[in-house]
Amino acid sequence: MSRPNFGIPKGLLVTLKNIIRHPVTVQYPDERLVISRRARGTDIIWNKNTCIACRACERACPTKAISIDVSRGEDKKLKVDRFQIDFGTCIACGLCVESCPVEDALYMSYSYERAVYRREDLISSDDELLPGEGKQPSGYAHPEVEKTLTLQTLLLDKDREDSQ
Amino acid sequence: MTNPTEAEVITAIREVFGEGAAKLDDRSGILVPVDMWLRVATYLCKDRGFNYLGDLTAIDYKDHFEILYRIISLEKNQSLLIRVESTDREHPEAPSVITIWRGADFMEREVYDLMGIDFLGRSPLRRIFLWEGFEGYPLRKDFSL
Amino acid sequence: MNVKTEPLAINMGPLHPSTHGVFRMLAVLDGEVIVDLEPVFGYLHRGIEKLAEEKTYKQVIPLTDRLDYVSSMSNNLVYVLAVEKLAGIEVPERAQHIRVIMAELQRIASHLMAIGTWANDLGTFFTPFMYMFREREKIIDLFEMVSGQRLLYNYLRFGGLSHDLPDEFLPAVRKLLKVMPGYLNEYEELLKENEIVLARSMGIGVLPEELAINASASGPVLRGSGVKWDIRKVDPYSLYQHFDFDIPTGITGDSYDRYRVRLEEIRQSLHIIDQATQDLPAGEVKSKVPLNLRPPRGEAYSHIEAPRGELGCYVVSDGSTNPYRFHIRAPSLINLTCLKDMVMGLKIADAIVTFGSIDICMAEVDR
Ligand code: SF4
Ligand code: SF4
Repeated sequence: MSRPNFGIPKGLLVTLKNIIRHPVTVQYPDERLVISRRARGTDIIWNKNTCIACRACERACPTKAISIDVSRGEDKKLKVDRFQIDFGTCIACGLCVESCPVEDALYMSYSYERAVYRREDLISSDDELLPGEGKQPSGYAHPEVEKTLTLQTLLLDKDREDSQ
Repeated sequence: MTNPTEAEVITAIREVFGEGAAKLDDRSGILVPVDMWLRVATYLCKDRGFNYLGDLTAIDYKDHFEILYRIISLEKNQSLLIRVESTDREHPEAPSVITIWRGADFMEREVYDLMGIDFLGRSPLRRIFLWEGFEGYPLRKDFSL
Repeated sequence: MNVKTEPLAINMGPLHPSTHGVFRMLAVLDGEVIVDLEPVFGYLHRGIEKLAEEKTYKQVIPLTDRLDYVSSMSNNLVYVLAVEKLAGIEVPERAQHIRVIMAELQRIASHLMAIGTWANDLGTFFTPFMYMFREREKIIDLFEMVSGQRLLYNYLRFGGLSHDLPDEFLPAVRKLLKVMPGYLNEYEELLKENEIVLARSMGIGVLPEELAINASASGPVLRGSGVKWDIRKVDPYSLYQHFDFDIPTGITGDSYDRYRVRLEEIRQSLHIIDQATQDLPAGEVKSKVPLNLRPPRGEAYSHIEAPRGELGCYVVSDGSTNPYRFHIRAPSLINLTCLKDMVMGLKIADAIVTFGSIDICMAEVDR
């Protein structure tokens, strides 16, 4: 190019400026960020005692990941014999949790790590769906749970407004 | 985006191509017979300023296929919906509008691939998403998953 | 000495770092010059249009996320708009405002990714890309906050949204609006005058205005060629008529112009978000919609200005709970129509720059 131009030195100044900026990456898994309070995690948590066996969640699921066996007990009430979710086909869309008519029967989980050796291990039923170690209910479609969780870490908060 | 009164365009088309060239569809849009469509399309693009092909798709209504053209005039900010019907179940055909609107190229190939409608007057159609040798046309209603 | 050359056909892709997905370019070269090129795709075809015919209206929303996964909010928006038109559903004003905020944040995130990867294709390995991903990450954080996921949001519903904004959202957006212009200036310093960028992208991949219109190009590709055409202005949806913004256009229609248009659009989006957050009305975010929606017989077409161009959605109802036909007008696919014309006579490396400047998402091309 014939005319003198300082494009490249200008760009280098920008990169220099970025060297002294606060680093934005963290050393996972030693350091962990807090995820959204509404996280739609890799598990679904189901409460055996409050579920009324209405099967709304089964119908809402776009991938047919949920299958429920229902029977009438002696007292003519519906009860769930088997509640099974195949997390291999679940796309974590949250529609089941949204459609559940009972306040505290179905939750998305607050976890994001899930790895198994076999596909069959991804199918969980009944008691495996209870909350447990590293598997807490998240606030998705449950505002009362959302309030109790810690605030999400935002990368934005690392920005100082005068750092421009 | 305004729609030109469809009646007005229909009158204009009828003046040039005769009574049978355009009909108001009871849903919306203009129904054009498949054998006159290429000439009507040229007229709409060149003389009425509909120079942009917004969308091209097809629907299987079991007894006939309907091909929809959504054409737009960028200067006048008008849009128009044209419906063309193809009744042959085995070998549905329609003229290709690729010479009028280049943008029809991939859209026609897509409709051919998924719905099996042949567009005549262009380089031979090949499947665009599915592989050569795939049997059937997935978007037809008689194709079950 | 007179050297005789023979045309050589080479395959680029389907797994090539510059193809942004699984895309194959079948190029015929004469020496190093491209004399013919044919795009081949379909490796990611999942048959979403067919799948949607077997799902209820609501279950299609998570499917639309998977069309263009870099801008799922826009896909959600176009689909819910079509169904709302079909079933005559009203949307509360607060929800409309939030939809605009989301769509514009999505545009910024998507354009940042587009410019970043394009700069990568130019050979500025990973420096601008990483900076832009840093800013995109801030926006993704916001999406995660409202919807619970980072990529496939599934946030919009017929008649509104799935949830209202959390309390911490608005302060975060205000902060984003404050810091973003500084970063944008930085990108500009980094790329705008850089001699290498200019030499590699100016006059490369020119798309003349006439061809752009004739080939149904849309979005930044169309505007880069100098056509002032933006669905938000010409056919406003979701209250866009109430917001003030400009439509940036290019002059020559080369790769550099498309990059300039995108960067300028980010600024305009920030301006829209600023207005939308300032007069955000209070109230409901979801109107009453029957649980198992059965729109009346009929059809509806909606189109929006998605980050990649005019995204259209056509839904036909036969009165049942499933759509009879679900069609997506995919801007990524249609923008590729004139790829061949744009790269004829260029070198392979320039074809990659041109291809990057069109900015496609293979998931949307193949559907
Ligand atoms: S999250 Fe979605 S895919 Fe998974 S079980 Fe629930 S409804 Fe089905
Ligand atoms: S929707 Fe809720 S109450 Fe009904 S079956 Fe599912 S978990 Fe049980």
